[in-house]
Amino acid sequence: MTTMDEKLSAYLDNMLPEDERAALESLIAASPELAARLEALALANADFIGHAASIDAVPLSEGLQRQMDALRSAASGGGRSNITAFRKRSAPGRFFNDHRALAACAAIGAGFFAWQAVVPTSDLPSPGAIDSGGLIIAESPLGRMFAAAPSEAAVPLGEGEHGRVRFTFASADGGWCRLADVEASGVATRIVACESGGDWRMMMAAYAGPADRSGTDIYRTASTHAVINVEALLDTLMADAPLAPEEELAQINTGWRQSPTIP
Amino acid sequence: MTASKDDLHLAILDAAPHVRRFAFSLCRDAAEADDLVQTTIERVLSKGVPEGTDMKRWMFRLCRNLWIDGLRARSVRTEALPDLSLAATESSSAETEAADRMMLSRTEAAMQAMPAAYRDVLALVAVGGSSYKEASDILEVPVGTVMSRLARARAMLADATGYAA
Repeated sequence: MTTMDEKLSAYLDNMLPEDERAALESLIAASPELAARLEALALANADFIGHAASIDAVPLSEGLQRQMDALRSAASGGGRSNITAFRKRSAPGRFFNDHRALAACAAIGAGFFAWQAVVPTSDLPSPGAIDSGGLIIAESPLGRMFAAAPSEAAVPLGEGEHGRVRFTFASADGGWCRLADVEASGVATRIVACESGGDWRMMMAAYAGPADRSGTDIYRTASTHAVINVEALLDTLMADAPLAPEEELAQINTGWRQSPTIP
Repeated sequence: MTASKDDLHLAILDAAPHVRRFAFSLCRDAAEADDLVQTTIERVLSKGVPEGTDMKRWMFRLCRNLWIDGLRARSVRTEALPDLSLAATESSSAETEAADRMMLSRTEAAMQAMPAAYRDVLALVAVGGSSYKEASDILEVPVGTVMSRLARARAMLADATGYAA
């Protein structure tokens, strides 16, 4: 017999058939307890992934480094240069040390390589702009914002809703990603989306409840674990520091066709 | 032959960072994970890969099997020399200390307490990106078992970290 935890777990892995997925989303929408349980499982999952990714910050052992250098040297001798190296992490690491507030929001969804829905997509901002697989509809205002808005430009997305891309960065797998904030009815949602073949796909959604406007940052400070989850996601995803405005504009103007050069 | 060797090297380089994370999620020790990755790469280089096999999946499988072999060997050593084994655990290298500092303590404690059967399946699916069918093949258990172990593993972590109300 399949338990509810098993269903929720399979939902996180995108392993439910479409009809079961839709039925479960209806149940989640109607049950705060079920939504809370899903969130707990998702956060635990994100912690596990974040913990595994934390080894990226540990230098390779001498033996493994030698082995990787030898492989790289042998491969480059064959005239190929598209090698995925262990990622250099200093630039984005420095960036996030200097911009802690950017990551201070509560995660409701986190996936490192594929979007994992944690709340029904109807609860995300810009209803109808994101499909159940995380694809941002290109023709929607949200889709147009990700494809064409420069960072920090305020973009109206609908009634009482506006968005702002915060920055653009090269992802570890050689694509482009953008982090944007969307605010509607006092709820701020942060979205990380990545471009692939002309489409933008959501990798993560994070939200803060009604904005606390007493400070300079609209995001509430979240629990340590939530901050770690968001930081772990971005730190894993980012191959380099965010693009400078002129670099970003060049990509917007060419439709994101030029692959990033990862240091 | 040269071209296929280049492809093999490139595929290994491409998969290695993912395998390293996978190894770390199994071992929970950075130095041990690197040793495991190194042995996995040596095994791929010496034995090759069946044609049409996805390198990352293949390396995950090898890595896990090597890790289990290591556990068995360690178990034998521990039974034979309990005092030496204890002493080895108490001494810590610089790498281990660096890894310890960065660990998320509650998650780490929960992972330490989690039975290997649950941690393995979570590592394969959540870290390795394996489908349930692939995890089922690698672990040689039914898909239903993969599903239930995943749910149980996440529930254990959620309970231990305080996410579950």
